[in-house]
Amino acid sequence: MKLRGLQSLALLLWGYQSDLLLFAIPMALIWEGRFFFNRRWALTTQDFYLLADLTAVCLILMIAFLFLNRTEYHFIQILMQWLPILLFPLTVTTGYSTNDRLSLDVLFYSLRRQKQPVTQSWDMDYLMFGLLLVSSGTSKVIGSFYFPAAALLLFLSLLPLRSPRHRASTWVLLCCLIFLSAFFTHTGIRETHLELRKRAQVWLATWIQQRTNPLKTQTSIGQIGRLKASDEIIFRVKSPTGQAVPGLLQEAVYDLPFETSWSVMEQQFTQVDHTDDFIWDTSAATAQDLPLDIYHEFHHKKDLVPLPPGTARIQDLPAINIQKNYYGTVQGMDMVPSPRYQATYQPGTNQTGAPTRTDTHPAKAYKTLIQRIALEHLDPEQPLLSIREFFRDFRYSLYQPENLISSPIEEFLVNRKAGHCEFFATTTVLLLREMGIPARYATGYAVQEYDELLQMFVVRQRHAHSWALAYIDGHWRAVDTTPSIWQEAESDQATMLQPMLDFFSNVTFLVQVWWNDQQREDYEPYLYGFGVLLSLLLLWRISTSEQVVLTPREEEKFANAPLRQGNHSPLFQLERQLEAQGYTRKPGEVFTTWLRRIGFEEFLGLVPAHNRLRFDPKGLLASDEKALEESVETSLSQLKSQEKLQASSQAKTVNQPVGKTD
Amino acid sequence: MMFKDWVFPAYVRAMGPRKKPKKRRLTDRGQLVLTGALLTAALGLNTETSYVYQMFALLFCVAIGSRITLRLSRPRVAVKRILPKYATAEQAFTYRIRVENLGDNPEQDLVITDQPVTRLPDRQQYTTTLEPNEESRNAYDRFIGFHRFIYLQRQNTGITIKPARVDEVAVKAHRDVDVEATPLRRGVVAFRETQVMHQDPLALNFGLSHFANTESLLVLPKRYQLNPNWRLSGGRNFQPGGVTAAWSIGESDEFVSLRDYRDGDSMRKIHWPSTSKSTARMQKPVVKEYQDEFFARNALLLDLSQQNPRILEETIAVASSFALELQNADSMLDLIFLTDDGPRIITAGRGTSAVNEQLEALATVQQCHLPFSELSNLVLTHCRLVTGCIGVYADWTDNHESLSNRILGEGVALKSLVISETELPHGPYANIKTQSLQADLLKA
Repeated sequence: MKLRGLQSLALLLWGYQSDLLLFAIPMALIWEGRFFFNRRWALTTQDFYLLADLTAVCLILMIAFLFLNRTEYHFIQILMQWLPILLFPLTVTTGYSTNDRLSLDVLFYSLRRQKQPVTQSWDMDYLMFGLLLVSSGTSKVIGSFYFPAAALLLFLSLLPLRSPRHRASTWVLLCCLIFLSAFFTHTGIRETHLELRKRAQVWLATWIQQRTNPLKTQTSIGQIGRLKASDEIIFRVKSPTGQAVPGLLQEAVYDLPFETSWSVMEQQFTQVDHTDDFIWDTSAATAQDLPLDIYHEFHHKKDLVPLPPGTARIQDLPAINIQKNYYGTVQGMDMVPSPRYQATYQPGTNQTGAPTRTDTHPAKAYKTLIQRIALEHLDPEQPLLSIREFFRDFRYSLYQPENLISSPIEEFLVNRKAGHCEFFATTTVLLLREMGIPARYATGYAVQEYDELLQMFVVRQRHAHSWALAYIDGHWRAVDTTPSIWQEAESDQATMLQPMLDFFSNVTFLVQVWWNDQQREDYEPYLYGFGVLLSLLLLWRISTSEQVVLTPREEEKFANAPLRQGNHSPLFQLERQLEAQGYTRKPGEVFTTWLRRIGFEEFLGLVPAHNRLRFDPKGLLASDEKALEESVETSLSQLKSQEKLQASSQAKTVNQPVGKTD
Repeated sequence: MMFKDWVFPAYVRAMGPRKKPKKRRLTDRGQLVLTGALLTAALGLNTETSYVYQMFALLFCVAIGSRITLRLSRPRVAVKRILPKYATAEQAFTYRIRVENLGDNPEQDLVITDQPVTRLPDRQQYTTTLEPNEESRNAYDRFIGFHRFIYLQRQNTGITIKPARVDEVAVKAHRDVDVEATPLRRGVVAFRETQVMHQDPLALNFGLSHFANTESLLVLPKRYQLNPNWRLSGGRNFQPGGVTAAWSIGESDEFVSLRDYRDGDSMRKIHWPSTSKSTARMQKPVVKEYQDEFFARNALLLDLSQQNPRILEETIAVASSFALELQNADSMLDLIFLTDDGPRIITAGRGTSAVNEQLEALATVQQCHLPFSELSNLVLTHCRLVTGCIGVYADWTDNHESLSNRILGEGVALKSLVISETELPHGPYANIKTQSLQADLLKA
């Protein structure tokens, strides 16, 4: 059954909801046109295969594009919104062809090879209609009338199929009840979702400490077992001038130690001034500043920005605003996915603020221990050298044993003498403070792995690092006491699949960078030219393909009835005329028998030509068919004249006086 | 353990008879609505980003509403099936089901489906028998083997029956509905029940009413068209055994006339009624005069030893085609074959029995495990009575050749046909290949 009108309304609803009305209106016109256009194209199965293959290729390309740009576009939402456009050629071709339904082998490549006949087929009208209703709902339009419109269209599509077993009033009542219950159901779903989300947020905020909190960082100190960081590449770094890149990218700085975490004393953030829409100056720029390109996509609206120490300017960061705290930690606000930003930095400096009293404040929990170690091992005259000397015997280890005798820091400093970067950084800060040197705890990333293919440094999740900042000679200096072997120890844990995963990651990255650099204007002339050429080709193919002109009877045939040869035989007109005169033909009675029975043997001569037209697979020659038509016309006129004659004679009989009395 | 062995019990559970009969079935639109509901349930999880959850709510309520209203206006009818005596394998036929309205309202928009007894394949059949052209299915379908299971289930069940729409049935009236069915194999097909289906107002579900309606139908083997010019050489022969349906007992030759007694005539041939009348007048007994029976009697020899079920079926089909073709008023046909219970000879023609008996026997025969020598002995004993013989074999071995030579040695005209999947070397037989069976038979 054809959904006349409803499909076009669904197309318009989809266009309005998805903001694709420019596509929806011509699509609706083309779709509706088939009810006014009396031509159908006799397409072969091979034609449908080609079209389905083309649709599949387009779909794969679109999926690949969306997957590679998944951070920029919402994968499912965009796919669902554009799916009607992708499937429209196949659906509309079926609508304008002599086929009513689409055989499954057209849609499923695997069925094309099998010798068993494919009996299943799909009515693309209903499938497309359903898809349009679902696609319309994938985008949220403020003040939308989606629900009532979709419900109305759905009920109207079910109306022609209504079972005559039930009264129309039952159907209407049922639809009303369903509408009301669906309204309450979807309201309930929405309310439940909001409530669940609220509770989950509270729960998450209570129980999960985010690592990138600018005000507090939770370390893995005291965590038992083996630490495992991901090998995923999170960003790439390149110096546009070919200079050496800094070894550490700083993300956040903390000054307040707790037992297993660090926090900050000054919690206020201030907005950074920007001279241009996408240029922010964090401090005064100098001529010695070096640029650094960082290819990092942010996945949150509010995120910390990794920067080289001494950053003076940030450029092309995809944020509406950025803010900075006293410690030089920079946070982007209202960020969107974009693959690159640039930081200009002054080597040897640090953007973190001047020392405060907190920076020399020791941690209460470890005060005695730190004092003892400082007395025994450190030389206040040569603080940095003696600290490095002290840590010379320490090992790098991601493993923390169970059943520790004392606190994790004491265990690290006294017994095991092995730990990861957080142990080294924390104890370095505490030891520096013990010697009266202001020190802070910094987190960020170590830049160390160079990718020859991309010619840039890659930074993985496992390259996350922490170190100490020491204020010496009026400058903040990074003091990294973690043994340099830590990088090899971490890379040993990489999976065997890492090269393959890196390959996919790099491909995605290159496509994103390429796509970001493209300007639509550069391609417009080519695209329009290609579009015009394709349209001309399509028009040529449409006009030269084999076509069938539908007569009203044939339209009916394509809509409902199976094909029956010779249904248009002119002898049927004669049959109707004779039946109108009362000579009824019995079911299954052949023309010859019938004409003999009713005494019209003079028409028997027409029957062989009619039979050939009806039953001969080769059909009847056009000339013979015309001859048959003419003969039938003559016979019809004879019949009509006889009828008139008969009627007039009867009238005369009626008008005549029945008898004369005289 | 192969995957097919592992998955077989799951298929049996899924496709086998249910403990509780199904009360409803989805229509095509119902399937679309339900699929849509599942799809929107997955897509609409996040109510923040889309309205798809509203469509889910709508489709969900439509599906529920349709199910609830299915209970409204259940049909109150009685059904009765009217089957023909026989059907032929792979030939669609029509039978009738009478639907009687027992309620107080006219019944309309009903659909009836007849349900045969479902026979599932056993594990051995499932793992060893391939679906025709299975190699052309895709790798996934071949691996999971579900199509094979369905094919075997359909073949074992033996019949496909199309649902039929019932036009309006007036109150206290009945209507005969033509139901189209196609037997898929020969043998007995059992019917289990008739289901009457009615739709809910939205036409998304069918409610099913079950009517126990057990019956069986004998499906005769499929038959092929034979060469119309085909004749078996060999003439008529004296048939001393006579015909069992003849008037007299004993030497049942054909009665010709009465004549006077001549010396040497058997006492048994005296026609006593005429003699009692005539002896008073002529003092002579009257005897009946007979003419010896001369007519063609052929043998149709069927070899059932083939293990390949497909070739065996085709062999039986070819034999059935000959059994029907060789029947005429003036000849007799002996169908000779072996079963595991012993030899069987079924004679038809000249009033002995109808061809139906032979076809009925052919409809139910199975593979025979007795040695071929048993068949040879049986044929050689019997072939003195016949003038012509047709051997339908599924293989050609030295035993077959030896039997042929001995039949020919008895002076009996012989035509041998060998059914095979591949082409056989040239020999004293007509090779009928399963791939081009009809064409080969027309040429034979």
